[in-house]
Parts: sequence; structure tokens; C-alpha cells
Amino acid sequence: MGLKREWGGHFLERHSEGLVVAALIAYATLNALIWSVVRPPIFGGPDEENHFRLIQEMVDTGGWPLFKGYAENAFAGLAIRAQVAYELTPNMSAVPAALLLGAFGSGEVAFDIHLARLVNVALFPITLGLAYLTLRRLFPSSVLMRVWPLAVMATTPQFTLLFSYVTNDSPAIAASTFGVYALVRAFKADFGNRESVLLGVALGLVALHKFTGFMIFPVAGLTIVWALRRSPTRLLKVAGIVALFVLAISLWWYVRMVIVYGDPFGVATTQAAVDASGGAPIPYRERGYSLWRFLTETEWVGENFATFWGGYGIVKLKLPAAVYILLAGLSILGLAGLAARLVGWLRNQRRSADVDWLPTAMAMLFFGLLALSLWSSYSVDMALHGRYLFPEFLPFIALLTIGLSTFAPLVRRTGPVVAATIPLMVAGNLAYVLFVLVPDVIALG
Amino acid sequence: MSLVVAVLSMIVIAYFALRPVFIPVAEFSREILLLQTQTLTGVKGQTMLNPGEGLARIDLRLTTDVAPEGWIRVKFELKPEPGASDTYASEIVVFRETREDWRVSLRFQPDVVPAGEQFYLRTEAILSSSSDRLFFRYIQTDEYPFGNHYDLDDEIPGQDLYFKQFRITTTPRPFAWAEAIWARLADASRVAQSGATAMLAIPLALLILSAVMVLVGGVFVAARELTLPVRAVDVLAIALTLVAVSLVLFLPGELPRASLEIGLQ
Repeated sequence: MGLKREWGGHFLERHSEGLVVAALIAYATLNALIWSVVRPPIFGGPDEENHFRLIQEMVDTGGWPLFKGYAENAFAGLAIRAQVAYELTPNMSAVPAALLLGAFGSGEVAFDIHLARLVNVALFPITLGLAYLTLRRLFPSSVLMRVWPLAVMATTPQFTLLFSYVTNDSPAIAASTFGVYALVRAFKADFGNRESVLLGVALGLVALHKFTGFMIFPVAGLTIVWALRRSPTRLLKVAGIVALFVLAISLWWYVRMVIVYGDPFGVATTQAAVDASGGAPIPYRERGYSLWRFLTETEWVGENFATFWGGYGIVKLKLPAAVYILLAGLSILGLAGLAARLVGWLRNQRRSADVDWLPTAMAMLFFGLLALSLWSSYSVDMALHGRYLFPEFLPFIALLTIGLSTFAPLVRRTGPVVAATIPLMVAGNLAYVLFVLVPDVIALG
Repeated sequence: MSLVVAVLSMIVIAYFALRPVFIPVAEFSREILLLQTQTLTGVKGQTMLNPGEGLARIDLRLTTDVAPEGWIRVKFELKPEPGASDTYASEIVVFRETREDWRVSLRFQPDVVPAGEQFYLRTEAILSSSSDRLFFRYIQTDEYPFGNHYDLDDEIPGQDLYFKQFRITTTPRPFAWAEAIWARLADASRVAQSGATAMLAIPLALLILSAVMVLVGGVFVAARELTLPVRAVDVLAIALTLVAVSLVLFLPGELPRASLEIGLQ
């Protein structure tokens, strides 16, 4: 370690990682709290009005809201149709929000929305904390490779937005991040009993949230099979423990869905209701579009990329163009690094048994969700938004870090330069909040 | 070397800290598409409201297209109303270069315009030849409720010139930066009806503290990555450099020549 110990930097040197991690999580949480305070009620982010309406209904009725179909022509003239109705999408975070409103709500919409937003804000430090614990296990030998990705997560505006308004996205992200953490932990611990139970609990919680987090299920299954392929007895035991806890925690929701709607996931019920409302747009696939034509005409990739980092026309979150260029450059570089590693591995003609499983699992999680998101946009509902990928933001960031680290040996003194970007990211985020986001709340138009 | 870097960084930080600070009181959303309107009659203007005490700055955005050896002479005036013979303040500027995005910042004594009253910002341009052109950024929809775009002192209802109004701060520099930040947050909080404006001070203070802690921790993480021996002065130099670089990167509007400051007398 470089610092001379006699001048008092010794303590900070030893605890610099902990200090940065704690400060980043505190910064992100306070940031989300400030966003939740200054953004107008109902217009805090996509669909806030609908999510809040459901919570209010829960307070009023004391039970889960019931789906009664859509009003006539509800989707007529719109570019999008609902994929799964809000009432049919599991969202356990609505329960603490409803309890909070029941105990402290004033009946005034503005106050109640700000109150309900606190539940989403509270999920941010949990998500980031779990992300850091995962990164520690993924990159045990490099401080930078676990702190830098956390800084990206803590300062991405769209990610902050999702934890600052009433939505079912941030609970799904938190649950999914818990799932990824539990999976990595279990894999590293060779699926011990305690880790298997934790994984079962985490997956059970994922099952009680929005379906965008469900990519973890097939990947967790494959990971268990891969890790325990040589001991079938243990494989069965671990699979049994995990399944038992998943079902114990989440089965009731799907049984209820079958009893009430005859449809465990609510997709068929929603699509029938959308069609019955009349005038709803027909999915692109049914219209005979090829996947390529769909991609080019809707600018699916560009729009998803833009809204992955920040930017949602209706609620004014655009990032400066230079930032998008920088992020595009980083993403392309990260992908190139991953490709280079893959090519290197193939050239060395390694055996499949030599596969580094966790990065493979991270790739399956992120690219799997990306593919599912594309397919559902094409075949069911043209929902253009990068936030749907955030349940796998942690795997994305881990992959980006691995990809970028490929080039580290080519650059002199990479470490200090990369470390210096952490405060710069926070400074940029702070400038964005103070000089773009907040003024836009009060701006004309 | 580290000492030199630290001193240079401190000069940059001092430059930013001692810049005049203004608080926006009226501005258009960044989501609005700005268009360009050419001044064909030579006279363009905008009626607007002075929303309160301390109005001291109005920003406009212009484009000049000047022929070689040519010039565009523009008189900026603040008047009580279109057609009024008296003037609150004025200044003449000559543009001699072609530039896509002039960020013109009109500065004047606070309260030269009576608070709470409407007034007229008038620009009168004389072009050196028919090949010179002057454009203003404007908005084709009526977003500003307290005034309209004017051409040759005639109102064009439903359009507004792009502008931004600022008031002065009441605290001395560099604390005025804190006042400017707080004023915006408090206004946004009021618009958002959060009912927690005063309480916002605590998370804001903690937010800035945590940002400082990230800086301190980040500097030490960077120092750990260095293989050379690192002294206290090196750590200080890294920290100051990061602050200076952040200011330059993220407050580009405050850099020298970022805007054309015009004092109206």
C-alpha cells in the first residue's frame, strides 16, 4: 500500500473501501429521497397514478384490488397496450405502502403520494447494499471492481428515479437483486443448507413481484444443475429446499389468481380485457412485421438505451447528449471486452467444464431479460422503456466491469484513474440533480 | 509537482466560488423544442413580468451569420412597454463573427425594472449588408403566460422568445451558491406540494456531506492503487484536482467566454 503511515492517512487508507461504499449508498438514498420530495405527485415517474390508485384501493377495501377490465376504448389511438394489468401483477411492496397510508395518510393525494414514495426510497439502500455484497463475492481480489460498479448504480439517474416514486418496478428490482445475491452466495458456498434456504426465500420474494424479475428462475435452476451435476443426491436435495421455500412464500398468490381469475399469471386475462375494450393497437408481430422491421421502425434499441440511463419524455429526465455518448462508448467498450474474453477462451479450446459459471450466469440474466423484453415488445405490448431491464442491472454492471477490465492491462495506471471517476460520477450526478432535474420541476412548459 | 497541481486547482475552485451567482426565477423546460426565428424587420422583443425583487439578469440565445468584414449591431433595451419612449436600461453590442449559439446574458442593476410589473425587452438590429443574418431562439407554443413575442413592436400571440430570468442572491459569495441551490430545491418542493420544504434541508446537507465523503474515500482508493509512495500533499492535490475538474466539467456555463455578458446601463 502506497500511503506513508506516519502522517495519519493510515486509518482512511485501510477503511477507504468501506467509507466509499457507505457514502455512495447514503448519497444514493438521500438523492432518491430528495427526488421524491421535489417531483410533483402523480407525475413522479411512469404510471405513478395507477400504482398509487391501487394502494389507495387496498387501504379502502383492506384487501387486494380486483381487476374489473378496462373502460371502452381505453387503448384506442395509443401506441401501447397493457401487458399484465396492475391488479394482476404481484407487488408485495404495496402492502407496507398501504399500511403506511392507513396509519399516517391524510386523505390528501399530494401528501399521501409523498408518504407512499418513502417505501420505494427505503428499498434503494437495501438494493445497493445487496449489490455491493454480490460484487464482493464476484470480485474478491479487486477493490475497484466492486466499488466502481456500485458507483455506477448509485449515480444512474433512471435507477434513482425508480426508487423515488410509487411504482412496482423498484420492488421487483430489489427482490431480483436479492435473488442474484443469494444465487452468487449459494454458488460460492457450494449450495450449503443455509445458502439454499436463503436462495429459496429470495426467489420466493421475486415470485411475489413484477414479472420482469423472473429471469432469475431459469438461471438459478441452471446454476444449481451446473454446480451439482456430479452429485445427483445433493442436486435433488438443494432443488427441493429451494422449491419448498419458493412455494411456501409465493404459491398463495398464484392459487388466488387461479381461484379469482382462472389465470395464474394474468396475461391471458389482461389481453382478453384489452381486446374487449376495443380499438387497442395490434401487436407488431400480429401485424406481420418482421423482427428487423420492428427494431428499425420503432428505434427499439436506441430508445431502450436512452431510457435505461435516464430520459423519459413525459416526466422530463433527459440527460445531456455528451453523457449518452460517453455511456454508449463505455457500453460498446464493455461488450468488446466481453467478446475479446470469449474469443480468447474459445481460442484456447477450453473444455466446457472450465466455464467460469458466474459471469456466464450474469450474461444469461441480463441478455436473457433483454431478449425477453424485445420479444414481449414485439409480440404483446410495445412498451419502450429501458427500466424493464433494471431487475438485471446488477448483472449488467458486473458484465460491464468484466468487459472493461479486459483493457486494464493496456493502460498505464488504470487503477488511480478509475478510482478518480467515482467522485466525478457523484459530482456529475449532483450537478444533474441541482441544475437539470430540480429546475425542470419549476420550469415553464 | 503536487503542490503546483494543488495551487492550480485552488485557483480554478476560487474562480468558480467567486463567480457572481444568480437564482433563476423564470425558465423554460429543457424538454421544449426551441426553434429559430430570423429578425427580418430588425426589431424583435418579448414582454415579460418581473416576478419579484432583485431581477438582475436575462439570458437569450442568438445565432449570427456575418459576412466577411461585416457586422451586426444590436441594441438591447428594457422598456416599460412596447412603444414606450422611456427606457429602464440599454446597451449596444456589435457582433463581428458567425456563431451558432451565442448565449447572451443581459446584466443590469437589481430592480431597475419595478417588481411585480410587466416590461418589454426590445432588441433592435442593424445589419452591415443583406447577407448578414440574426436569429433568435423562440418557442412556437404559448408556454409563458405573462407576455408574448413581438416583431417590429407588434405582438405575435402564442409565441415566446426563449429567455431565462434571474434574480440576485442575498448572501455573500461563495455562500450564495448554497442560497441558489436551496432556492431551487425549495421552489421545486413547493410545486410538488410535499409539505416538507424546511425538512428538505437535512437530507440536502447530508447529501452534500456524503458526496464529500465519496470524494475523500475515492481519493484514498485512488491512492491505494498507486504503487509509488504517496504523501499527504499528493492526496490533497488529487482531491483538489477532482473538485476543479468537476467544476469545469459540470458547470460549463460558468467558464470564461461561455456566455456573452452585456451590462445594460
